[in-house]
Order: sequence, then structure tokens, then C-alpha cells
Amino acid sequence: MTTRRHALKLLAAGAFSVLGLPGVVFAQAPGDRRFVLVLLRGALDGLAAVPPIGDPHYAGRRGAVALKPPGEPGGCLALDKLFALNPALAAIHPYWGKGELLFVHASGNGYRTRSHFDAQDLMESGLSAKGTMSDGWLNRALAQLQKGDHRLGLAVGGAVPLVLRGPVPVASWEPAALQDASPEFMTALAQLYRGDPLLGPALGEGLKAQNFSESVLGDDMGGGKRGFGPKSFAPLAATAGKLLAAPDGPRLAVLEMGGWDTHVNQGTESGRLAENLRGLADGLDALAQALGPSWSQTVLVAVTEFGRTVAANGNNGTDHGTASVLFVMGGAVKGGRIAGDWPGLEQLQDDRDLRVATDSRRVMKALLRDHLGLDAATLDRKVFPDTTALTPVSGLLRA
Amino acid sequence: MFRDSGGDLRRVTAAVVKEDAAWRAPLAKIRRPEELVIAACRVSGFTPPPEMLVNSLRSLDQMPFFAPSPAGWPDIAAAWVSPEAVLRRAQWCERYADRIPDPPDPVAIAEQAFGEALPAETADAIRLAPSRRAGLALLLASPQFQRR
Repeated sequence: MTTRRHALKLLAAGAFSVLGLPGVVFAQAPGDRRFVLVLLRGALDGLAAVPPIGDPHYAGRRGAVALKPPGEPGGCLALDKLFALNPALAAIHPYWGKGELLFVHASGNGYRTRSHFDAQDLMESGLSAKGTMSDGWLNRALAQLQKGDHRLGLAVGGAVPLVLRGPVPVASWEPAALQDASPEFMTALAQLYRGDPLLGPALGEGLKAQNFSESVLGDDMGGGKRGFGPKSFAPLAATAGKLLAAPDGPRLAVLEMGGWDTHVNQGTESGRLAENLRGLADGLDALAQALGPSWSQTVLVAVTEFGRTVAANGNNGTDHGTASVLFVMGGAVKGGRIAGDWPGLEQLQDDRDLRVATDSRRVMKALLRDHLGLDAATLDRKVFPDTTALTPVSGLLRA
Repeated sequence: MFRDSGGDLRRVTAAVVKEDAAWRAPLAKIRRPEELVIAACRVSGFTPPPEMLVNSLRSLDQMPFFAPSPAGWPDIAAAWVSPEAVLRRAQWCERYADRIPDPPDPVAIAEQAFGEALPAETADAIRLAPSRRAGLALLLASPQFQRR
């Protein structure tokens, strides 16, 4: 009874909508294992998040976006002989040391497209090619797990993303307080309004009044104090953790974070991407803290729709690429290592991108099988249709 | 033409219809908040529940049935284009796009709504947006969609 009341109090702080069925929300707990999927929208530069500092071609190929090695001021944090961690991800570095964090580098999603829309749809539907996709792989996984009224799935932040959409009903939570507009959106809009004699000056004044720095209005993005975009992730993640921790709450949650599309002035140890990485790390740490003892039975995976070019472009940013990096984190993870093959930076895909060595679905299958108990046949045919050839990656989780 | 023809409306009408400028006239009037909200719902195929619509309009300073005078809502741009109002319209567009349960393809919607009348810069920004919702938000907040 106390736990139910506590959970309900938490929910009163936000709008917890249970779509569809009235009546019983919380029933028998399904088990103690939690699964969190974080969708990073906009194409995260995996080579910046987890730079292969020890690769002989790294500094030369990356040019303006190359990071400094561990030991130097503003340098990366050490991981192993080849890889290091972007210093902006400092908040999750301790998890590496504790063996609760691993990365699967050079991972891709099995499709070739440079369109954010198509790639995100494919990432969430779990397919290799565009077709009719009205449901997501996590909803199909839920079909194997959900019995009765208890909604195991939870969409955090607003509308239900494609990955969780489908016949199985899920719960959703969004913060009661209206979120401010994202810096990314305001920058793009300021650009569109530049030539408009009516809207341009009005938006400019409006943004100034809201303490946006001048750099939002021009081409120079700079670092800057504004960053409520990246800073909005941690409170969402913390709430997700609390909801998942409840004994009779949901068990599979999806979170989303944008701001990764760094075509211009990406920055290195400081700058746009660094601020975003910091927001991500703070959120992941907050989620782990909020889960409390349940963290030991949690697996979190963060995925992006594709990576970015190895070399910087003419605007000190990077363009759409191919392979990126997966974060796998949790008390149930056998971490402290980089999983998957490393294709190196000598031979590039199309002379510009990091090549894919591991299909991300092999990682997802492994986590669903080893952590949530789905069987191989279901994974190969229903959850990720036509993927018998994609064998799950082994050894990601503790026994 | 009206004066010259001594008030011959038929000739005036024919002349107006034949006048090129009448067909090429650019979108000139800024949409009032209720026009923006209705246009957004139409073009995206999603209408939020009534409470949300009323809250939207309130946040955009157009509380339904509470016009400032019996003359109704102002019709000139200056009334709706203060810095704060423009910022709030932009914020509304992003929030609205975030709420659409099954967001359509922004490129297809832009094509339907504007065809070739959309400037390349706006069309590119929509096509290259980092997510569908971001693309839709940009379309709704674009200088072209903000006008009728």
C-alpha cells in the first residue's frame, strides 16, 4: 500500500497517461529486470564520444574535431590502450571502472541511408529496408512479455516513439511543466527568419530577452551558458528511474535525446557536442541513482541512427556518416571493455566513414535474450523479422 | 480602371483577373493564433483534445471568446508580432510537433501545403532536420506557414 501511494504521488507530479484500458494499472510485478532504451536522435558522432585515440590515423583524419589524449589538459579519460572517453562524459566514467559500462564501437543499423527520418524509422522498426512500418521492435518484444493489464512499457517525455508503438498498449509520462524550446530548434528557426523583416527582428529580440547568447542568432554556435536543451535530459532520466524502481511499475522504458546533428562548429573538449554529451552523461548517472538497488538488475542501451564523417567539414563540424557507437550500461552488464571488432581508420567506407563491424540488432537481440528471456526463434522472426543471419553478440551481460 | 470605365464592374473584374500581380501576390498576412493552430492541425492530420487546444490558444494570447473588444480580434500584424509573441509561437510549434502521435513525413506535408512556392532554404531545412518532429516544427514555424 505504501509503495502504491508513493508511486501515485510521483505520478501526480507529471501527467501519467495510461492509454486505453481503464481500471487496474499496477498488478503483479513481472519480475525485477529493467530495460532502458535511449534513442539519440540526430546522429551522434561515435568517434567523438569514444575516440580511438590509439589508432595511428586518428589525429590526422579527424583534424579540427580531434580530441587530446589522456594526460593532457582537456584531454580524454582513459579506457584502454586504443580507446578513450570524451571528457564531457566524465559522469559515466566511474561506471567503466566498476565494470558496469561497455561500448560496442563501429556499430550500425543494417541500412544505408543518410536521411535522418528514414534512418530513425528503420532504427526503431528494426527492419533493413523501408516498407510499411507501423510498429517498433520493442513493442514486438513486449508482445512476448506482457501478460494481463499490467503495462510493462513506458514512453518517457511525450508521445510514444515508433520503437514502442504497436498492438501492445504502453504507458507514457510527460513532465507537467512546459519545456522551453530547444536551442537546436531556435538556431534553425533564427536562420530561416534572417531575411524576414517582420519575424526576424521580433525573434531576435525575443531570444535576447530569454538570455540566449548572441551566438544563437548568427553562424557561430560557440559553447555558451545556454544549454537547457541538453540539461533537460537529466530530469527526464531521473523520473524514468523512479518509475522503473517502483515494485509494481513498468519495466521497459524508452527515453529520447536530440541535439546530436553537429554539422557546424562541433567543438572538441568544449562546445556544442561536449555540452550535449555532458547532458547525456548526467542523465544516465541520474537514472542509475534513481533506480537504487534495482540498478543491479538493469540494462540500458543508447543507440543513434547513424554516425558522422571521420573528417571535419568546412564548418568545423561533421556530416552524416555510417557507423557509430552503442553504450551498454547497467548493474547486469559485464562492462569495462569495448565489444565488437574495430575496423580501424585506415580503410574507410566510401573514403569518408567509419565502417560497420557489428549490426546493432545483434546487440539488441543479445540483451533481449540474455536479460529478458526472449527465445532465439522469436527474436529472429518476430521481433527483428528476417534476421536469422544476425547472431546475438555473446558475453555482454554477467551470468 | 474603375474610374475610367465609369464604374463598370465587369471590366474591372476582367482586368483584375488578367493582372499578373494578383496571381503572384505573396502570402502577406500573418496568421492569427487560432488560424495557426487550425492550419497546423489540418496539415499534420492531428487535432489535440479540446482542453489542449484551449490552452494552446491561451498561451498564444488568444483565449477563445475573450476578444479585447466587440470588434473582435485585431487583424494587423503588429498586434501579433511582438518579440515575446513570436517566441511563444515558435515554442508552440515545437511542442505541438512533439505531441503528434504518429508524425507524417515533413517533406511530403511541405510539398502538399506549398508545392513549389516554398523557398529552397526552408525546404532544405525541413528535409535535413534531425528528426521528423523537428522537421514538422520547422515547417509550422517557417515564415511561409506563419502567413496566409
